[in-house]
Amino acid sequence: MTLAAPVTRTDHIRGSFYAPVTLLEYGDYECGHCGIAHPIVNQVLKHFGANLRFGFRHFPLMQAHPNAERAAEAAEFAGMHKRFWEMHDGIYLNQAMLGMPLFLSLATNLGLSKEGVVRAIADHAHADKIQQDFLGGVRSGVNGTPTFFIGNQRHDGGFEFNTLVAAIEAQLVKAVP
Amino acid sequence: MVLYNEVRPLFQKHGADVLGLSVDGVWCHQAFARARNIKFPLLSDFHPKGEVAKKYGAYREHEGLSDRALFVIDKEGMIYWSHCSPIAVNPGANGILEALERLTK
Repeated sequence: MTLAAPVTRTDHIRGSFYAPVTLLEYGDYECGHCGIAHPIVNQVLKHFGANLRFGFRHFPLMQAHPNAERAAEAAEFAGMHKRFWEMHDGIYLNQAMLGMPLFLSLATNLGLSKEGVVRAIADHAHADKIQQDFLGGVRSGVNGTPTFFIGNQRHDGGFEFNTLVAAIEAQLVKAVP
Repeated sequence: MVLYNEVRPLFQKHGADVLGLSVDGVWCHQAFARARNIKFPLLSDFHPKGEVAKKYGAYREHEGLSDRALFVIDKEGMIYWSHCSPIAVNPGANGILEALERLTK
């Protein structure tokens, strides 16, 4: 499966935009497996340093996860204030407490407006962006969460540290011969 | 099934709907649908076991399970598109959407 929607400047990117290899995740903030993947992804990023960038796109399974969309809204709200990754980490690290009180306390910790988060969630302020991520994912063959792409290929292996590292190394050899 | 539950509005835009079918019994389906908030019908091919799946050529005799197979059926009841995925690979929704687009354009 090939990524239908290429990574652009509008994506949330961790690491250098010009890194030779991209690890892209389609994730849901209420998905337990995404929560398990979160620290592993961070370890993988650390392992590759400047050779890897990480992108995160929303794939909220709203029918199954009542808090997934609200969490995505909270992250996008923080993103508007250039604090996307702090909110992203905060949500995954506290996934067991997902809900409005968590979003408010994370926003407060980041110095963001509580009312701003409440309004973003109530007005579905970033629904277009979240929907765009979701539709791009569907088109690219995202089949559950988390789904990873390495370069523009869907990674069908697991997301254990060693599996991800091996798959990324294979891409890196091609990108930087 | 969870994915198709989410993507269902996109199927409905093309006048299509989703049905799920497996050899599990109705109580099993009911529990699954409740746990995952599945909104579309799950059909039980339980007795005689796999009769419908066999008609679609999607029955794994050896394991007594239906295949991970997708069928897009047109208004006349003809199979317009189909895809059989390895049992461990969720086939996603992109193939279905592309078929619906070709069918309804």
